[in-house]
Amino acid sequence: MTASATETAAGTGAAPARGSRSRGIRIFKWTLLTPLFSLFFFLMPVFLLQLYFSLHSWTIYLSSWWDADYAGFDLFREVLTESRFYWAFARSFLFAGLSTVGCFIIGFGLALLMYRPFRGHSVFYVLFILPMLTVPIVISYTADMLLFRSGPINDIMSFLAGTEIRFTWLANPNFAIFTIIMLEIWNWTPFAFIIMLAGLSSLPAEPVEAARILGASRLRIFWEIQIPLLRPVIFLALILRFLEAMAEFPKTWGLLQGGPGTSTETIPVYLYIVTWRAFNVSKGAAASYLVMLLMIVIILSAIYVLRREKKALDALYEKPAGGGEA
Amino acid sequence: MTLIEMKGLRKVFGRNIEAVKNLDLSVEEGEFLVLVGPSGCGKTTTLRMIAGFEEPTAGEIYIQGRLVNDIEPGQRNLGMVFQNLALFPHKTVAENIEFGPRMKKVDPETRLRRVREAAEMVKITHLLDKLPGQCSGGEAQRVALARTLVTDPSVFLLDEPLSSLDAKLRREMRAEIDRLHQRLGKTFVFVTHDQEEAMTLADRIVVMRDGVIEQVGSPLEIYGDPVSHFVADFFGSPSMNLIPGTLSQESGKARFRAPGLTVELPPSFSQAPAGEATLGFRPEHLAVSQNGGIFRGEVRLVEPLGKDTLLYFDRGGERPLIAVVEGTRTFREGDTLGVSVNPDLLYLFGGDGKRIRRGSKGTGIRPA
Repeated sequence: MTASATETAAGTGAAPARGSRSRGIRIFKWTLLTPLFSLFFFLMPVFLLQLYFSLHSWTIYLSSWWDADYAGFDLFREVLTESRFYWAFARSFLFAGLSTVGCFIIGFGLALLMYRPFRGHSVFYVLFILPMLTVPIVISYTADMLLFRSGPINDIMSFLAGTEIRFTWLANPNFAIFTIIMLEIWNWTPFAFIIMLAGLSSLPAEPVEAARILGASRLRIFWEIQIPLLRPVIFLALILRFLEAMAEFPKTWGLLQGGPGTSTETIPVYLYIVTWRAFNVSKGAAASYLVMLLMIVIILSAIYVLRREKKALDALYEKPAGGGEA
Repeated sequence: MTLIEMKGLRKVFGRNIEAVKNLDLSVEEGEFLVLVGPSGCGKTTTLRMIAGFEEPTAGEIYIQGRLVNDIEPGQRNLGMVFQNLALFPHKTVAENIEFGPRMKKVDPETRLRRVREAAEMVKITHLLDKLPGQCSGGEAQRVALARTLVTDPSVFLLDEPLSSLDAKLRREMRAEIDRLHQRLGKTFVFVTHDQEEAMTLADRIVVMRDGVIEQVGSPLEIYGDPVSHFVADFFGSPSMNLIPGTLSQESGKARFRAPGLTVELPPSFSQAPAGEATLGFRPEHLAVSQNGGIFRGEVRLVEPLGKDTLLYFDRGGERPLIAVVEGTRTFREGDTLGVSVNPDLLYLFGGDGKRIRRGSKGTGIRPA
């Protein structure tokens, strides 16, 4: 708004105009920067406190936290030598990886069914979105009721199969994590659905028509035209979903608290247990720091990939110049 | 031989948007047919029905005698160049051109040869390894043409392919398309809203308006013998002077009256019905002199174009009256001049917009 105001002022060529212009820019700059700085100063103490805890040996049973003994990197060493920590990582990767792929495949499939409007498609749209709007803790308690051994899910499956099925969805340590993955997929498929639907709808129609008239089959068009043009959107959906899934806590905790045993102990659950079950605040802080570093690496590489895709996309859609020699 | 035949073709979008109303048209083999009309006249819809992207609401389309209503676009042996070219942005120029033959399962060696031939024909061999985004507008246009002609279609469908180019390039590509048509001897169906493009390219022009065909004819027929006010107005640049007024028959003489203008019409109009009418004459058929003429007025604007000069007279109507005079004569704005017109080159249109033809002596100007 300042730009247009100063443009008209600049038309008169008066000196004060230039002054008000630079002042406008300064105001605009600080409007943007102030929240950033306040956020930074607000967050900084938390990080510093966390760093203090991770370098000092303090648990909740000890007295005042500022009297804790300096421990150096002992706590980091303790976390890094603990196989439980690595197992938690492995589970988180399994959880995030499988649920991301699952969400994406189902979400993309639904988007492919939906992107050409048909009669009553908005009803389906609402239905497909609903899981995302459900509170995760509600999902976990509902799943608890539905999935217990003599619960409705097993009853329905028994009815359909014609034999008695008493599958242990939750108590089986080898299977429990997959149950949670399925819940995560149910919960977050709408997210992939929305992104892929938007991506499909924004694809230009003409390349597809050109491919059709050149004799390409639907499947060919899908693999050779639509998928390559959707690549950046696909990456976006996968990366965002993966990062979100790495941090999933309410369903895992609400349903199984990391159990049976430690079979569903993902990174967030591990951090919670160490810090608030064992009250090992310092060890939790050290582990959190390590997780944060790893997540920074993952996020930076994700940003790198997304930027590369964006650049490739821009290059693809660069309009051939109107003029120039033929 | 008739290559494409459309019978009673109709297309309704949604509940009641009738884009094409009961269209009958046949396209002869080897001809360059141009569908022209203002936007929303149904020309693109017609083309898309031929291509198979739109299903006709009613009517039949035959290509080479075969009913194609239920045949996929890819099986109709057509080539199409799209308005935005629709090149595959992620494939190189060579891959773009190769796509059609590859889908038709042509063996790789033949494919390569045909890609090279097509590229040579439109002079883009140096671009084969580039991406479409790296080509200029004219180059991309040539790639789109190559991708179409490599499949050796029986008909080329072109949907306003030149509309995104600037004026100079558009003229060049127009010549290129004309050359391709001559060289390949194939049938071209070309859609445009640009009357000049239609005039220069077409063997036959189909003028469409509101989903119906207004007139079909050669460019000179369309220009010299328009069937309606609409066609007369649409073709020609600057467009025909059209003056609304009234026609009266007084003792066997037809007289046209408009504010500030009375014209005695030649005896061939003596059978024309009296009433509301529009008088039309082409700017280039007007003669300008110091005195006399059917109309005297002040020159409001002089537009020298080099070879010719356009004179704009303000006669109070919606549009100025325009006369084309030789560029060697000099006029100044503010001059008062008389304008006369050869009575044989007058057009008369009735209140319904239809042409009122001359009684005894044929129709207006015949093509030379």
